Order: sequence, then structure tokens, then C-alpha cells
Amino acid sequence: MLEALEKFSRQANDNRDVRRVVGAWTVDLVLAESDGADRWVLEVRDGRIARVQSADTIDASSRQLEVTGTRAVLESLFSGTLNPVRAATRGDLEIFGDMSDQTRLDAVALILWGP
Amino acid sequence: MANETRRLALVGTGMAISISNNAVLGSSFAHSSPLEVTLAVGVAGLLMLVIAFAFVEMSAMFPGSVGLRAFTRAAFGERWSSALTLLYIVMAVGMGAFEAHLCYAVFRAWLPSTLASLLVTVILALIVWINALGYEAPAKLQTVCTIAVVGMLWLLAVPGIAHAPIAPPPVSERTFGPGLLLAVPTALFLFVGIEWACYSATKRSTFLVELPRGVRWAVLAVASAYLPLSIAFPRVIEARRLATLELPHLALAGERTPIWYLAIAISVLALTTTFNVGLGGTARMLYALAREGMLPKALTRLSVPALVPRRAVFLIAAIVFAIVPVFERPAIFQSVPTLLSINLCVVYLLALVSWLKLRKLEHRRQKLNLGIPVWSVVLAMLVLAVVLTDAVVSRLSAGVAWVLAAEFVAIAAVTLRNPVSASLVEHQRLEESR
Repeated sequence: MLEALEKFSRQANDNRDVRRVVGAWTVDLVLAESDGADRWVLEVRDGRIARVQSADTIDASSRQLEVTGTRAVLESLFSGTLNPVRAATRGDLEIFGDMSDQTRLDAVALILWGP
Repeated sequence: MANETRRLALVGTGMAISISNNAVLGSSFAHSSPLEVTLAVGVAGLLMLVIAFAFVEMSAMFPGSVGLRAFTRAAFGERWSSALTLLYIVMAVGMGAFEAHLCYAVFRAWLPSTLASLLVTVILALIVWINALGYEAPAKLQTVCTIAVVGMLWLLAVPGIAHAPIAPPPVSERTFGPGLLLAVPTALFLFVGIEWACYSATKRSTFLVELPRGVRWAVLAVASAYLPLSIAFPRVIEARRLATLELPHLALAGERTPIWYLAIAISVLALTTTFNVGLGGTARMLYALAREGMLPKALTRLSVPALVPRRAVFLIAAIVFAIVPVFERPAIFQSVPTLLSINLCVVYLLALVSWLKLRKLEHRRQKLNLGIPVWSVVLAMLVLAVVLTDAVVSRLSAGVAWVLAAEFVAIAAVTLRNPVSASLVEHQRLEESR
């Protein structure tokens, strides 16, 4: 999983369109496994993914966008083989956070992998 | 009240309060006594609470999605869900256009028609512009306008309540009861739109705590806005005349009095709150359907830096602008309430059927149980079925039938392009049979 997330981070950070669209986005993108206990955090600071790490504790005071799904679903999501909107409609993915943060995450997927 | 609860309550309240609600309330007095109408508003509020709670429970099962699209897909499968979501969008757009036309009618009572249409255009354009700015500006607009419109509706009712009753209403001699039964389905329309609060819930705690509270407050706010008016209307306006008025709130105020100008301000605010929520919500629905591949990819374009689906916003606005002048034709104008009633009842009925189906799922994903009694859902469905039957049997004109047919063909054309997929309910049956 970490491997897929690191690859996603490189793709997003290297993409000019992504950086232009997300602007000075600062959020902790929390990914939680629904079929296990693992969690990961992508620290997005000023429009760049600054750090990817496996997380035991989450800093609840920071602005968060939480994405929950099975490990397979999360891996597919961050490798570009799963459309996040379709997955949320099917109930495979649960997304919690401000509407602007949800849209930013979807915009990144849209730019990297197309509609 | 917590900020998030207040925000959601104002979204639901603002969507429900509309200019047409005054005529809806007025029409009840044709068959019911003032006391029956006042009681009906309370009963309808409870029924709407059941419907809205069903939406809340099901939306909580699919956070991050367009609630109606997701839970009807789980209950009925891909095609039915697509068709219902499109129907919901069509209905919301139609309601927005109808409200804009009513606002034009209000202005026309005050100003020359050119100036009236210019004012409505400016108001709609401003709301579109604010929605294109991002997500915060429409939320702030909603907060200010909804609080103002509820307060103004209370003020509007005060002189009417203080007014000496004009004459005993003609139905007052009848036995109490049948009028209440007739008034409840009509009064239900005063609360339509409260469920839109569900589309603004985005955080985990919101779904579980603030959204149910917000919906409760929204029902209370709408009831509190129309209960005083249900007392004031028949004290000032004769019941039979009241039932035929398109803009009874203007008639209540008396021409060119300070309260009359207040009634005009109420109309502007009601249009603003309804169109503001409807525009943002339907644009996000169109965006989501386009992201799923059901609608053209062009609708997936987001504006930078606001990240608003601006094309979807402009498309909805363009359709509303195009429809509003059509309502100038009396035949079309008179058929709109029937058309909207049919669409609304179909959507609400199928949403409640979804609730009945999803609650039976063994591996149900339900995160939230608000303790809605099944009998209350069945009762709400019965009331909706009565309204639907009445609209189809008694009020279906040739024009309405043609519009419904066109709507059906257009929606079918879009949805039949989608692959058939099984619903969650069918999946469970398959698993059980193995």
C-alpha cells in the first residue's frame, strides 16, 4: 500500500496541472482500511504531498479528509484503476471532509487518470 | 445550536421556503377550516420529518456520494437509480424556474413588466455568480437569507393575526375531520426540499449527529413560518378567494403598505434561498453523473481556483433562464404544480421504498438508526400515493401528459445507455441462494 501511495505522491507532485488546480491546499488525507486496522496519512502542505506514512495515531486537530475502504479498493483508487465517484456511489468508498477538500481530491484523480 | 447543525438546518429550511408555498397554503382553505389547515401543517411537518429522516439514514450509508443516486442504486440497481436521479434534477430545475416566474409575478404587481423581468434576471445572475465563486459564499448567502426570510414571514403574519376575522369561513359548519385529511397532503408540500440538507453533510460526525438535528430544526423552522400564516390568511382574505390566489401573501399585506413591501422582500429572499441551494446541489449531481460516465465529460470541468463544476452550474442556470418565460402561458403555468407534484411523489415514494428495502439487508451497511417506525414510513407513502393518484386522475391535462412523456423519453434515452447492474438487495438474494 505504501508503495502505491508513494508512487501516487510522486505523480501528483510532479504534475503541473495538479499543483495549479489544488493551489495552496493543506490537509491531512487519512486513509483507513475497512477490512483491517491499518491507516495511512498523506500530509498535503501548500499543494504538495509532503509526507506519506503509516499512522497509528491521527492528529485530530488538523484539517482532515478521510477516505475509508477495503485495502484493495484503496490501492485501486491510488493507482488510478478505480473511479472515486463511482466507488462512492457503489458504497465501496466512504469519504468524509469538507466539500472543497473532496472536490480537490477528485480533481487530482481527474487530472492524473482522466474522466 | 452548533454551527454545523445551524448550517444544515438553514439549507433545508431555505430550500423548503418558497413563494409557491403561500399559494399551496391558501389552496387548502377551499376544502378545510382554518383550524384544520393549522393542524394539517403540524401533521405534515411530522410526515416530512419521517421522509427526511429516511433520506438522512440512507445518505449516511453512502458518505461522499450523491445520496439519492447511491441509495436508490443499492435498492433498485443502476438504471432505475440513474432515471430517478435525473428526475430529481429535472424537478429541482423546474421548481427553480417556477419560483423565478412567481418572483417575476410579484415584481409585476409593483413595477412595469420590463423592469420586473430585469430584476429577476439580475437576482438569478447574482446567485449564479455567487455559486461560481466557490463553496463558502453560497453557504453565507444561505445563512443570511434564510434567517431573514423566516423572520419576515413571522412579521408578515402579525397584522393578519391581529386583524378582526372578516367572516366565518363557509366550511366552518362542517364536521371537523374530513377537511384535515384533505389538507395534510397539500400541507406536505410546504416542507418539500428539507431533505436537501443531506447533500451538504460531509463529515463523519455530521451524518450521525448534526444532520438529524439540522433536519429537525428545519422542520420546526418551516412549520413556525407557516403556522402563523395559516391563522392570518383566513382572518383577512375570504376562504374561496384565498384558494384561487397565486400570491396570497401580497393580498394579505394590502397594496402599497409597508407590509406589502415586506411581502415583496420575502419573495426575493425565498427565490434566493431555493435557487441557491438547488443550483449548487443539482450542479454537483450533474458533475457526479458526468464523472460516472453517464453524462458528457464536458460537465466534469472544474473551475480554478474555486473548484466548482462551473459548466454544470451554467447549464442549470441556462435551462432555468430558458424555461422561466415559458411559464407566462397560462395553460403551462397552471399545469406546473401538477407536473411537479407527480415528479415529487414518484421520487419520494421510491426513496421510501428504498428505505424499506435497504433496512432488510442482512449485511446492511447502515451506520445510523434514527428509530423511524415502519408504520410511519408506510403512512407517508400512503399520503404520497393519494397526492399522486389525485394528480394523475383528476388534474392530468393533455399538456402535462405530453411533458411527462417527453421527460420519460429523455431520461430513458440517457439511462438506457448505462449497463444493467444488480442492486445490493439482489446481491444479497444471490448470496443467500448459494
